[in-house]
Amino acid sequence: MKINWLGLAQSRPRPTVIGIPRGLAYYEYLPLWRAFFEAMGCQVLLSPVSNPAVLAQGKLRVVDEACSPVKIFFGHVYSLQGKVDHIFVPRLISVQEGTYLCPKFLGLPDMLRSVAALGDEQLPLLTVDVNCRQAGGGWSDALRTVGKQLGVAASRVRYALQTALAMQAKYESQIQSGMLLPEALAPWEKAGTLLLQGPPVPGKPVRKNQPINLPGEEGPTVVVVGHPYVLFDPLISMGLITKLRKRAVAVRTVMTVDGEEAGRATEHLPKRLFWSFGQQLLGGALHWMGKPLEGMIFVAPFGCGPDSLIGDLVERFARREGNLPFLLLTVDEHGGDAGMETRLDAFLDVIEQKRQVRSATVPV
Amino acid sequence: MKVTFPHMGRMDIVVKALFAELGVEVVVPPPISRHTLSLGVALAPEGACLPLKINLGNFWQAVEQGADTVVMVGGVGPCRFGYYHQVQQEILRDTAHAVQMIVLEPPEKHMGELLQRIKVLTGQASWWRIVKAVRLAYEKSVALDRLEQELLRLRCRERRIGDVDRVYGRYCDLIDQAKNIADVRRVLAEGLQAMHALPLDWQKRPIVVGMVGEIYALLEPNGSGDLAKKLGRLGVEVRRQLYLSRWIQEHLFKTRTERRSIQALAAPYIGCEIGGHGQETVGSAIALAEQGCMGVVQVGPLTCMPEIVAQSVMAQVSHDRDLPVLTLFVDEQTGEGGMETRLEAFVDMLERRNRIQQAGLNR
Repeated sequence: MKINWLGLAQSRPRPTVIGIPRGLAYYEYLPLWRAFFEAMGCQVLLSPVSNPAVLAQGKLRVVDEACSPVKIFFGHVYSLQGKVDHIFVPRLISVQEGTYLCPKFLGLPDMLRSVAALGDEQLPLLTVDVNCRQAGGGWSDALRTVGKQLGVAASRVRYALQTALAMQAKYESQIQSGMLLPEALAPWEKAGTLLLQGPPVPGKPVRKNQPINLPGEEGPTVVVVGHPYVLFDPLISMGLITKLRKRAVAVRTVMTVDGEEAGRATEHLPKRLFWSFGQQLLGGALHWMGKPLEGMIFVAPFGCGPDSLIGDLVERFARREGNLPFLLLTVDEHGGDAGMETRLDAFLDVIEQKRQVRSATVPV
Repeated sequence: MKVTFPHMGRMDIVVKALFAELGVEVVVPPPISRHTLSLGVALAPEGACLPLKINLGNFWQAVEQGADTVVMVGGVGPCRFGYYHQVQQEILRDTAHAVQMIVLEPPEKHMGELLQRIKVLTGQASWWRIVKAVRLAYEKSVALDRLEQELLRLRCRERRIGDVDRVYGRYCDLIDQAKNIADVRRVLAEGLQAMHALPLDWQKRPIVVGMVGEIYALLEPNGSGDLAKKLGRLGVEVRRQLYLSRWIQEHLFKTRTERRSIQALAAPYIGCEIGGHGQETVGSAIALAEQGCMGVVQVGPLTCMPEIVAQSVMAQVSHDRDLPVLTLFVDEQTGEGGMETRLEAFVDMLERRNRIQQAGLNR
């Protein structure tokens, strides 16, 4: 039996290959998942970066009414079909006590299973409930169950879980310290077995569609509010973040706001939001409103239930707050690049004009 | 304090009975009209679902008539409805029609919590009075549901169009006026008799279609483009499992209902509760098919999250049970003509299927 530097035994001739679709909760939990599976001796294969072919695969299979992130998620799942032993699609019911996720997260494995059954396709889904509404039903419990399903020894699962939780905590602290999500995620998106290459080092993501030489951040500070799976999916957001950074905008996101700060920002509301991802958006946006800012962009996928209400609340609070330029962008899979560019330019013009007016009225 | 509430089917009669017994002054919003809808659409976020928009229109019109407080139920998610009141309150705050919002969060464990919340609302009313008011209101809702069930069953047998609806409307008003439980029961018996006394085509063997979906779309005709009536006029007997009285039992009284068995039917397709009526939609479709419905129409507001999940697995249900399913999503843009055409095509298909099946049996 071969033992590597982490003390992981490699006795099996071919490790189990776990596929992770690059969509929805991926952006929040990839380090947790990947570290967990690799520490158990599995191999992890990610689906390709979102591209039109992936989207077309998804659109073919999911109902028209679903939102674009769900459509593209289906595409990611199907792009892993036939290449892996298991496709990891946990059922995220609740990741925080007393909260929920959107119903589409709750029904995701069911929707996939149903589509596969109807098409007589083999879709080896690896599913587990993550439900913090039940005692001890969080990620630790869910991943232990996954370990058992894969037939891994309990001691090894325990070790893998420890490693995974530590990695996830590090990842979250990186994001809260202000690192943009793609940069923090980049080391986790590399091919191969990460844990054998030594602990991952964060760095700039290198992707073909992203320019490496971005200008500095001398432009206005703009907060972009939106789910990570919308903002950082190059296809769904149509590269919004890159577009802004190309225009020298200092982009801030709500991911840097931690749960406590977000909670404080929404304290004045009589009722807390019951969607934990939604609470992050609302709380994050309100938290940023108290800071010196020059604009806010809310990005909602078309047909997103929580965002239809949260977007309206954020816009309303922004308007009450005074004259913070606010842009509500609704995106879907039929997006046109030119329309987006025009709206961004117009929005930045408004900010620029406000800057000029302010500098003209400052007493000399 | 003048209290108002959103419309949902004939819920106004039930709520009015409750508050009248408790001595709370009530302003019933004017019946939902085009104007109500356009008010709501102007105020609400465009991506919000139809019930939120109609609710807002109701509140606006009620405030114009002097209401200053809105009472509605809340929720703990994950359906959007649980956060409606918060958003609606903020929206109205930015207009000249600001209201106070009193939210009856559904009780977590038992109906004692509900009674306590109602007591807070009324202040000095005694427990006895509250229990009495709740009993009368509930009895009215049971009677109204029974009448509606009969309406859905008999509409397709009408010899003169509009007969059954007229009698239904008249007896709804009489139930509204009923003063005590005995009265309600008497009016209900008379109403059913009056419906059966109409000139109806009892020889007819109509197509039977089940209606499943989101509660507002099922209970409020304006939430579904008057789907049940359209089906009835096409000569279809409509069956439904979800009625207001059952919702009250489940969510406010916390008693056991057929919901459990419905959820069990849905479990192979949707493994957990997904909020709203998503899981129930699937279970009800199966239950109705087992009870002899030849097809099922699923209806919900556009972008309704639980119904989208239900719709996604409905194709498999349809395949497994050999059950034709039509899914309709309704919003303020839905046109009469388009909907009628789709329903006609669906009913035509069911009739043909039925004929073929009958011929196969006779051979």
